[in-house]
Amino acid sequence: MSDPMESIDPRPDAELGHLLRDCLTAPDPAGFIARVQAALGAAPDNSWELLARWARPGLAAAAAVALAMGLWLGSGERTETATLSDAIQPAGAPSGLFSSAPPTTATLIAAVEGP
Amino acid sequence: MTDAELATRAAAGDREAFGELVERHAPTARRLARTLTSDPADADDAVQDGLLAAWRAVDRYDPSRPFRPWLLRIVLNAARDLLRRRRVRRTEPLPTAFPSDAPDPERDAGRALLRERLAEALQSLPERRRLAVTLFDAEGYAHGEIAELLGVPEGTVRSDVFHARRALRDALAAYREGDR
Repeated sequence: MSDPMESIDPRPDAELGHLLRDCLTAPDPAGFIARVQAALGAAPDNSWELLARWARPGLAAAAAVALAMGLWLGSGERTETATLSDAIQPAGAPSGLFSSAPPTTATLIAAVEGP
Repeated sequence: MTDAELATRAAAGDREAFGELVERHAPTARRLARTLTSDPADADDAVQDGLLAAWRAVDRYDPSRPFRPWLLRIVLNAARDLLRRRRVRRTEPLPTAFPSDAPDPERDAGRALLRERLAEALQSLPERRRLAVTLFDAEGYAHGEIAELLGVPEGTVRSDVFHARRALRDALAAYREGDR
């Protein structure tokens, strides 16, 4: 038995195609295009556009965070040095003795003689 | 400018480029949506939903592939979503087909009736057959393109077109017999 589909015409049926288009084609193509264009104008951006819009404030925020981190780390280092110095300095001792800067003569005399 | 070039511009945020794509493909998209929903207003809403969804996703379109099937797939998905949301009753008879601009009332009435019969016959087919025969005979798609768009083997498309044509031709023959 032969398959009826073997006899199928591989070309579009022009008459049926015309009737289908006639049946399915909606009126007022220009009006519909205008409606979609208006909706498109009011639509949210596509994701690439959103990314581009977010990129600038994102970079600014990242730079601000990096700057803040830098400042925080910088101040942390200074605090650590001061803390070490403070830790080895006995209470009431002249600070000049424990300073990283070379003490002046007057400071040394004052330290030996006491207050 | 080709579809792919316009789509590339649209992906970079060019709304005018996307508008040009809308102008090119809206007629086909509207006809396809009309095969899925019997309500012309629903069909246009679905196409608009689909086109806006395509706008949001256009940066994910691969320009090395044909644009039209990509767009129509999105429109079809939007139409199906809309149908699900609105719970359109498929058994409801089609409203009279779109009004014609032709001035001859008798011929106009005949054409309107023919369109109505054809629309009824089309709506009586399973969805995939409706789409396959519309894409093949009305839109001039090749079987392979339809297969890719609908996500089925090419042989299935051939079978769908064959059975849909037979049903539609039978309906038209019955209409013409009754017209004599």
